[in-house]
Amino acid sequence: MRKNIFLLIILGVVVMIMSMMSKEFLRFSTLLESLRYAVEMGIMAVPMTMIIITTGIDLSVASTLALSGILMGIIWKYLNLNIWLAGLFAILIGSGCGLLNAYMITGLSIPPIVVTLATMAAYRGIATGLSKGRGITGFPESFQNFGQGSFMNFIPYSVFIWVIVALVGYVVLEKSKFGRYIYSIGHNETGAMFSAVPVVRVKNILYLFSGMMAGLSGMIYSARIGAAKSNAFMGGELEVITAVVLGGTSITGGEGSILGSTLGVLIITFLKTGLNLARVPHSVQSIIVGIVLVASIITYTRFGVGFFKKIKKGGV
Amino acid sequence: MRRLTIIFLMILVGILIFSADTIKIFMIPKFTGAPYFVATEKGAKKAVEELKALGLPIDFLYTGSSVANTEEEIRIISNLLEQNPDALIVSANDEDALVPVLKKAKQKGIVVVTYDADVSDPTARDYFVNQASFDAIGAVLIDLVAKNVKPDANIAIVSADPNAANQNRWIEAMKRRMKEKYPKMKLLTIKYGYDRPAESFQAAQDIINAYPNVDAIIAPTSVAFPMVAEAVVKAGLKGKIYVTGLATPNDMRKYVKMGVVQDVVLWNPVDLGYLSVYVANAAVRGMISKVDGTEYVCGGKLGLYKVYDELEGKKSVVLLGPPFIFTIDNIDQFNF
Amino acid sequence: MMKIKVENFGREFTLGIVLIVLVSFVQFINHSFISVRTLNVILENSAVILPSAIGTTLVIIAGQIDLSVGSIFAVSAITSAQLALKGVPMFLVILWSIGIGAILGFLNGIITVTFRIPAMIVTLASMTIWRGFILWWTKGYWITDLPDGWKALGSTRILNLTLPIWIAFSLGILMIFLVRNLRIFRYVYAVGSNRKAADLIGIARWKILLFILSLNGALAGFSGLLSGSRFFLIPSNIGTGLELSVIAAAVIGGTNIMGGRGRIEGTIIGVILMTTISSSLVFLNIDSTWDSAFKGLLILLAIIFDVLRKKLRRGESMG
Repeated sequence: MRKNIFLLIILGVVVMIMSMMSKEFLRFSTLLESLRYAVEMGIMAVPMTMIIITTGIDLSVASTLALSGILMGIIWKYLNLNIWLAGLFAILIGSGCGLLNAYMITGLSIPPIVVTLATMAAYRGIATGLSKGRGITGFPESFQNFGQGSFMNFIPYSVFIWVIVALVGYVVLEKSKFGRYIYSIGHNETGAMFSAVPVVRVKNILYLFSGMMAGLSGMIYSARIGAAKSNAFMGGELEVITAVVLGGTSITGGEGSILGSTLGVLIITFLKTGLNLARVPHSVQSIIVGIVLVASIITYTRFGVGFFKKIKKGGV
Repeated sequence: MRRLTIIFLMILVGILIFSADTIKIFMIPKFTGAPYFVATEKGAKKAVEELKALGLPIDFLYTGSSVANTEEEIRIISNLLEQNPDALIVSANDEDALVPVLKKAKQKGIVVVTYDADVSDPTARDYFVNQASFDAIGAVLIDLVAKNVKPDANIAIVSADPNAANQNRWIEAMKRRMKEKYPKMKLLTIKYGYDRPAESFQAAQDIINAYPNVDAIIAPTSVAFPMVAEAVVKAGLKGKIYVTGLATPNDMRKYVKMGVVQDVVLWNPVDLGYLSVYVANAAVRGMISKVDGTEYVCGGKLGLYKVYDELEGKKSVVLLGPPFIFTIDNIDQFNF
Repeated sequence: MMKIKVENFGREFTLGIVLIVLVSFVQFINHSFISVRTLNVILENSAVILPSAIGTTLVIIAGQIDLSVGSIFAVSAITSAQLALKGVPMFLVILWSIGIGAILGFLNGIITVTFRIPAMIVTLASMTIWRGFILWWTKGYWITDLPDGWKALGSTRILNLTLPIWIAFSLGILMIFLVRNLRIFRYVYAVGSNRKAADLIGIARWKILLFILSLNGALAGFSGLLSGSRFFLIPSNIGTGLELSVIAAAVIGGTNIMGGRGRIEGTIIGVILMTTISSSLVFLNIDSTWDSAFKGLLILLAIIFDVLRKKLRRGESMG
């Protein structure tokens, strides 16, 4: 909880500094519009948070996004399926990718980072091979409007989906038995197994959920850019992980929250928006984002544990 | 000729009448981390200076992602729209993904000019400043091979990545040229180096080993071209395998002087940036003149340019000119 | 301490089989595959990332992950090239490449141990920071017109194999020897396999981590030089994505991602296998748009094959 208060403070500071640096920043329209480009990251951050809490990781999310988008496009175009049904299919494809990851992780006991590193290349590669690098375009107006339009010309439609996913994720993680299972696996997997936590099933569901959300994001992404592309969201997996880690989820497991990850996404998004508006070169932006990330986490450690006490002991 | 003079005078009169408000132009390249785009920036800034001296001040910003990244480019454009520029000059990382954000810009009344790399939907922008027609580039590359090797050469291509729209169109143009003029020329394979040095280098080495009958390798992208040349040197096949492609003279000078590469094809990127600013400026200030239903735009010291209603399936194209061939005789005259 | 399990012995064996099957298959389809030239290409392209892969292996054995190697690689390659351009003697440039890598690695290490943050997070940040730095530093330009001396390392041949191959693989053998015999590396294994035990026997974990992250930086820096010194031109995006390739090579080579287990021998074969896969796709004349798909699937197959072997072995010993 203390972390989230701290994150709110960082967010406040970012907004303050950025609104001093450019007069266009602190407007509802600017901030809401910039959220449109954070929706996919925000949605995928929800399962990623849960997975990282269990000490896992999913590096294949961005590739799953691309593959579901491409298959959605192919089905819509060549089978003449209704676009919304095809969108549903994208979510299914994503879930399938997630399930395959889950099978290899729990069924064959291969570490998640190894499995998803390989499927990251494989899923993206299949998307590229199927599309031959050409985008699938010409989606119906209503579908494109879902990604490009805004409610009352103000709030992007896709942001609502992000809010729903984040709320559901919050309830599941903080208020349900399933959420407690996730934390207990993260604290001590063997211990959890002995106290009758269905570890394998929880993990399977998490990786499936991650793929499903990547599929959903693939649909939103395709609607937003009006095309299904195999190079969609290239390198996005590390962006999602950065947001989650900035949001206070510990990669050693057992710690983290959906609120924190969401704040992490917001901080990065607003920071980049502000720096763009202040005309700061992109290379310098990368440096600033990196420093903010490491500085925030250093500050956590000082807030969280008796920092100086442990230093004296000399352990890490 | 007299007609051109009249148009030129009209533009001058226009300048005198309208010399007025500062306009805001943002230029967003594919990415800033390449000498090619630095050159377009140089040209653009020169145009801004000239226009300022003519009493047409421009608030000019050159910015973009430092590495090739479609998401960042979309985000940057979307953010910058909040500052209500009068015109955007954009080189698109992805021909489809940028369409919605550019359409949004047009809806806000912003003039959108694409340069270097266009978007797939012509309604998302006003003009496309094309460096050279796709067919011309494809033809020059294939003709060079036919002339310097033989008309029935076996060629291979090392390209950027499967999603690179420009490269794909150039490759299509090359295939067309082969079919029309050199039906015996054979394309053995296309490999992608993802515009990274190590990957492009290995791809070229593998092609040389896997296809002992390859006579020429074409690399239509500026990272792959020097790497292919290097691979040929390393295999000890200098002079045996002909290498050509698209890259800036500075990147290729060493290999041209070593005699590995005889011809480097490109256009002048400084001029490309320069012309793009002139087009954007003219479009904003209504200085594009119409004669007999055809639009003309003044390209500063480059002269007068016709706006093609349609060129190679693309609408409203301003063509910089034919591709240029750099050789050992002229490469030292260029610094970009 | 360094437990040598039977299944650890088996990993290089599995990979060897996968490699032999792959090579014979490709040779069967395309008869020009097995040749000195191809060997040179595969070994050299493996050699230039091998130092970094070895460093990554050690970091993983110590229970950490370093994502910044691609950026350190780039900083080293670019700054070394700039020094060479200024006429600095080549041996000083080589020292610089290792030194700057070590310094950047040390910075990662010092933050990791002082603030007790997992190295993965520190390096996630420093990866962005150094990549941003190099793009700011070069102002969009690439390093061109490098002097002939710069390429001396990459173009010298001994017994038909280029110098980077000899250097990197000698380094590999040296590291195998050092890891087996130096006490500090035994501590690295101890720290990675069981923190508490390591604390109990009085190993200062922070010293080990600092050492291993600095060493990794130095090796990544050296890789940057080896790779860059093959070209007359260094684009500023050099080394992009390297972190994931070397992690993949290490885990394919049998390094346990959870720490405590892994061998340099395995990583060497892992790197060679990855490079061979890339090359073989050209010889098989596969439509290049499918390259990444095949690469991912082959890596998956290699890993699954090894899992099945372990299961089989366990089954046999039980029955």
